[in-house]
This record gives sequence, C-alpha cells and structure tokens, in this order.
Amino acid sequence: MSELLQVRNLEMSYYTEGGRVRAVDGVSFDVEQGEVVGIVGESGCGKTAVSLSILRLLPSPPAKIEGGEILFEGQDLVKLSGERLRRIRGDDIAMIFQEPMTSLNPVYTIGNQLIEAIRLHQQLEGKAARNRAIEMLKLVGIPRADEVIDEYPHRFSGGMRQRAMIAMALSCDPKLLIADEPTTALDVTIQAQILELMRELKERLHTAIIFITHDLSVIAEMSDRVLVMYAGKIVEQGSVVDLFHDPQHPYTQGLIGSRPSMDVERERLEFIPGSVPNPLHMPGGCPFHPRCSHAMEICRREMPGEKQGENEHGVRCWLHLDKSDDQARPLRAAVGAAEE
Amino acid sequence: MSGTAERQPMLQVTNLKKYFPIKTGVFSRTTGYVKAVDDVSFDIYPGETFALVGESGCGKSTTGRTILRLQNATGGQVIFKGEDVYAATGDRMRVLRKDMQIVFQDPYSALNPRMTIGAAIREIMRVHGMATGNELHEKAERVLETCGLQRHHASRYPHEFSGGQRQRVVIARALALNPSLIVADEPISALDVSIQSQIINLLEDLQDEFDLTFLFISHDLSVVKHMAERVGVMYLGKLVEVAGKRELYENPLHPYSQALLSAIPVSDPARRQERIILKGDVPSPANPPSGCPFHTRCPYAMDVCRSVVPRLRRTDSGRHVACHLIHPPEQHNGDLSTVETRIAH
Repeated sequence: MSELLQVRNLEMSYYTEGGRVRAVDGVSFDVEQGEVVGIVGESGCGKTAVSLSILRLLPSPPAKIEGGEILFEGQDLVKLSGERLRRIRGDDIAMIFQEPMTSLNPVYTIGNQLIEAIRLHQQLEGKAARNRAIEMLKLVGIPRADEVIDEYPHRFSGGMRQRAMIAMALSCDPKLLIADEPTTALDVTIQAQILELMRELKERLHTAIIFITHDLSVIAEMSDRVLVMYAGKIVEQGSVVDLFHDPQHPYTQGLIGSRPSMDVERERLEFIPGSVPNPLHMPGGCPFHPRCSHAMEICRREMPGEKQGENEHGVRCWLHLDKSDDQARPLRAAVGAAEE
Repeated sequence: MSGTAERQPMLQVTNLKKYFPIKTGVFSRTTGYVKAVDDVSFDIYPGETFALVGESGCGKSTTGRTILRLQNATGGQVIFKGEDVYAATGDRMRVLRKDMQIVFQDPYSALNPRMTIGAAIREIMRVHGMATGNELHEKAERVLETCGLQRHHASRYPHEFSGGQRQRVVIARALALNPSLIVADEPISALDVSIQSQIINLLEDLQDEFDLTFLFISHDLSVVKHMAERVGVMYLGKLVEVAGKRELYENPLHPYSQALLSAIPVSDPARRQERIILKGDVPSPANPPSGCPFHTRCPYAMDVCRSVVPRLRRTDSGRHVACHLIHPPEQHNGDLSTVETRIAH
C-alpha cells in the first residue's frame, strides 16, 4: 500500500485574547490508501484541530498553521492556493461532522444540497446529477430515496441526517474521508447502524478514513491504526491491537483502564488524577507530567522524543527512553487523589 | 435478586404516568399527548443501585424527575419509605425532599454562578434546618472534603472549577442533606473520559460510607454494568425489562435489550463481533406504534405485537419482561424454556 497522506511536524496555533494556544504541536503521521486511522483524545487535545488543518478549514485569524507539511499524494496542502485547494476539498478529501443538523442547510432540500456538490465536483448536470444523488442516498441505506430526496433536513431523524451527510461526503468518490465524532450525537443503536454502514462503504469503495472520537471502544471497533493525542501532541501511536493490548504511555493506559469494561468485572476503576491542563498555561516538559503517577525529574523539564518499537508502535514517554539516574528521580512519592 | 424479596423496598413506583400535552393552533387546544412515561412500575431496595437505561427520549429522565415530584405525575403512585409522595403537602414534602436528592448531568447549570459553592451548600442546609452559625460552615466544608475537594474551596465560585470538580460540588450539595436516596441523572455524561471514572469511584465510595441508595439514570451500558445491581430497560416511555445486572447482561430476554446490549462497541479490537443491527429509528413518542411500541423495529414481531400491548410480567426466574415472545398472550403460564431458547438464536 502507498501513503495517501503524510503529515509532518504540523504546528497550528490559535491567537486568542489570553495568548497563544498551541492546538497542534509537532504532529506527524501517515495515512495509507484504504486504511482507517483513529485519533482519540479528550476535549481540547487537538484532534479536531488536526483534521480541520488538513482541509485548511480553520478561520485565520485566530488560527494559524505555523509549520510543517501536509502532503496529500505528494502535494503540500499547506502551500496550495485557494483555487486548487477547493478542488481537493470534496473531490479528494471529504469530511463529516459530529452534529449533522448544523452541517445541513435547513432552507434547502436534501436533494438540492447533494446535487450542488455533485454538479460542482463531478460535472454532472440535470437528470444525471439527480440520479447520482438518488443512487448515493440508496447506497447509505435511506429508504424511498427517490421521494426523500425532496425533503428538508428537519424531516430527517439524527441517524438519517448523518446518513445524508455520509452520502454527500462520498458522492464524489473521495480518496480520504475525515469523520469527526460522526456518531457522538447519536443513540447507541443508531451508532451501531452508522458504524456498520461506514465499515461496509469502506470495504466497497476502498476509501481511507481518519476517524476522530473520544470513545475508545468506537476506536477499537473501527480503526486499523490509532493515534492517541494529549495537549496537542501525539503521545502514542500504533496498530489497534498493539495499542489496546500493550499500551505503553501512562495516559493511554489510564484511558483504557478508566473505562468500565463489558467483559471484565472490576471492583474499582482506575483513574487519571487531575484534569486536562488549561491550554493557556501548559505545563512545561511533558504536558502529562502533573497527572502522571510515574513522573520523574526529567519529565518536568523536557518533552520526550518518540521511541519507535516493533510494528511502528511509537510512544513519547521518558519511561521508555534512556536517561541519567539523576533525571530519573521520581517527582513525587504518590499522586494525591484529588484534582487540584 | 436473592435476599431482596424479603426486604421492604425503599421506593415503590406503581403505574407511573407522565403525559405532556401537545398544543396546536391559535387557541392552544390540546390535540394529543406525548406519553413520556407510560405505566412504569418498579421497586428500589435500601442500599442498592437501580439503573434505568435507554436511548434519548425513552423517558428515563422524566421518570426520575416525576419520582421526586419535580414534575407532577399524570397518574400512578410513588411510595417512598412507606409514604405516598404525591399525598404529601407543604412541610411534609420538604422533609421528603431532603431525603431524596438529585444530581444532574450538567454540573455547570446546576450551580448558581453568582454564589460561592460554600454559600450554595450552606443555603440548602439552612433551609432544611440542618445546622446554624459556625456549625453550618464546618459541616459544609466537611462535606466538600468528603467529596474529594478541599476546605478552602468553599469560598470559590463555580467557574473556578473544572467539570469534574463541579460535579463533585453538586454531589457534595446533595450529600449535605444526608439523604437516603440519590437520583443520579446521567451524572458523568458531560465529563471527559479520564474524569468519568473519578466520579464513578466517588459515588461508589459514598454509597458504602453513607449507606446510600441510588437511582442511576444513564444511556451508557458499560457504566451501568459497573455501577448497578438491578437494571430497568426503557423504550418509548415503557419499561420493557427489569432484571438483575448479571442476568440482563448475560442473557437479555427482551429483543430490545438484546439489540441494545449488542450495539455497544467492545473496547477490544481482537473481539469485534457480529451484532444485531436494528432497522429504523426510535418512533416519535407523540405518535407511538400500536401494540408493543417496539414491534416496528423488532426482528421477531408477530401479528399479536401490532395490536396487543404486552404487560410487564414476572418470569419463572424472577425477572420482569414485557414481550409476547416470553409471555404468549393466550397462555400466560406456559413453558418458558422453549421460548427462551427460541429468542436466544
């Protein structure tokens, strides 16, 4: 398989009244053709900022891409002109969002909005464009597609709207689909429908997917490879099996351990003390060190580099890197339970 | 379930109904009702955690609020410690309220932004005559400490806290009145994953320490499995199954429970499984299907399901299920084993 997307040292900041927020801080990863890459992390970790940067959908100001490359089939999206970028958006890279209602225009019919995308990107007109739209609605499992196409979004339920969004995103045969929390607003039985649909379509159309969510179990179900983000950085990445069966970073371990499992009964849940740091007052060194039970002297001072393990399992943590005895001194005996 | 049969329930909910009128036209005539809670009955025993699960709009939150009389019921009965909640008036109701507290999903909107959290806790204790003067301050600070915060936090305002800490404040405020029943309505859904387990652990610790009884309302079936002893599954305003946690998760009897449980993503990539995918969406509660509310999505629907509403009935194993497959309408006491094996496939 070949690399479809290569993100290299991406840096993106928001310039707010309170100061500069490094939302994406030196992020690098690849997406191969037909692969599903999951990005998982808590609110504010920068997972959405990465996806919006890829399509350059961020308003500037306050957002600014300050460094790095986003190579899509060899061309750098960061440097592309607006005109050229517009052709890639929708055509080659499509995106679906968490809240399907706010992504659909309430004053146009579903058909109108679908056909607009098809006309712009596929050079189909009139009847042909409409037929293509109906075909897409059928593909995503919307019943009575030829009638429903003339309905307005408010007539659709949440699950139907998300199906319509997927139809729209896939109508131009994109090579890469970015799905940002596509099932978070949906009920669990509807979520199961949408995940099943995305899996099926991926098999059929061989589209690569970047799947962004805070839900670890959805990641486990959907992804081939997983990136774990914390405070704008990728702290661990690897194949989905390696990551869930052999998590290396204390944050990943904490995330997995803090979810009640459906199979294993646990008396007490593990937890990560404290909460996500304020982006305006990022702790120095490794941003996770104030919450980490293994924190050492060096963690406070320096951000660890990435250590590559087998099978491209990478982790950024001092526990797995060489350091002197002095640097390895524990920062504290035990971490207090209360958040401070 | 063993042992609970002899004990007196702390809370008995019988045929609880809550209908919201649908008003249309210039004169706001009532043209129909949304049956948010329709004929729901269950008991909660002292010291246990009873969970209500279901998808959005199934009526689980309305059930919780109606039990506390935050909304008045349309019909039915709520007996709390032997006393009819809906017969209580004025002072008596205030005493009952003190004993039944609620924790909401969104801890930000549950706290007054202009009041320090100490003041918020002291106010509620003063209203209920828990303490006065210095003792009031002391007690408020102590309850914050119990919930994993620090004494000096009492002088801070809600915005100075993170989401998880705010939820601790809300729990502390409920706990300050020394209640026996706490209704926890999606208490962790608004929190980040790494914070959720802190709050779950806190609730469990408090339950042990203060002998609390929980009505735990949640859509998150993995959390419910961790927290609850018994579970009620709701669909479109009705309870479709009530069972002990282990029985329900290992062998759900109602087809909706089966689908709901199988829809949960498994957080182990090596065990991606085949699942029951339900067709279609949850019907509108303003216009629910006739007969069994689930028949439009049920893979086993029979003719009788379209016309006859199945009642919640006890099975031989002591669980309660509302399904014609389990209790065929013509023979209520028939042989269950054959039916159970049939729907297991």
